[in-house]
Amino acid sequence: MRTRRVSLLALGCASLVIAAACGRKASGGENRAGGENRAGTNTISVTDIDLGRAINADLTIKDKTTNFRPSDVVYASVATEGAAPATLGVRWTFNDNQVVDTGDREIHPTGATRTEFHISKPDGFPVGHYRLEVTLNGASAGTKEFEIQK
Amino acid sequence: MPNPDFSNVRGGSSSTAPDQGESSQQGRSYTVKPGDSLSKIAQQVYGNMNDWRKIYDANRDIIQNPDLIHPGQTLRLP
Repeated sequence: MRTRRVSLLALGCASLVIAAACGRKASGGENRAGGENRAGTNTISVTDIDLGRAINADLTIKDKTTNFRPSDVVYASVATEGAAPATLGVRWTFNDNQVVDTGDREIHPTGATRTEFHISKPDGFPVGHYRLEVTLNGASAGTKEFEIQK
Repeated sequence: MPNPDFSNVRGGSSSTAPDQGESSQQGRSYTVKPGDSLSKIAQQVYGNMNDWRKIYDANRDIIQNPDLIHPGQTLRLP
């Protein structure tokens, strides 16, 4: 009897550990994507954020990178899952405090989607450290860090 | 050291998800920003400024003059 109780307890603990590990799947390192919002019975969540210099026709990133040149167009491709109306927002900052650009886009997805945001600067971006924060209905849904280098 | 000037940064977006009012039609769109032109948008979106005519042809109902687009206009991207 005692052995069976101990086995059940061990099984329960293992389930909790597995559930916690699954819940952390969307995050990793300092960059993450995992915001979720509910609208009625539907949900929508940001599942991925990629950066690169060019995009494909399906709005995925053609060449993922976090190192850019001053003359590059910086593209961010945001993947969402779900079918609820939502507003995706972006906030690009330089050296963690100076706002470079902000933007948002209202989407009415019917399933998995990609939304791209991009910035460019005709006279070139200053060299330094940049950060992109993506919001979903006003709540932070992920961040990406990148560098502009000569 | 003074902060860099980011006032001339150009931003934009497009999505595979329908905008409001387009829920039955999959399509990408672009909201015109100050300083944009059709060729600049074509360069940003397609990587080729000569593709501006594709955008113009898809938006003839709202663009009277291809040299004159206005900030805030939402253009369909074919």
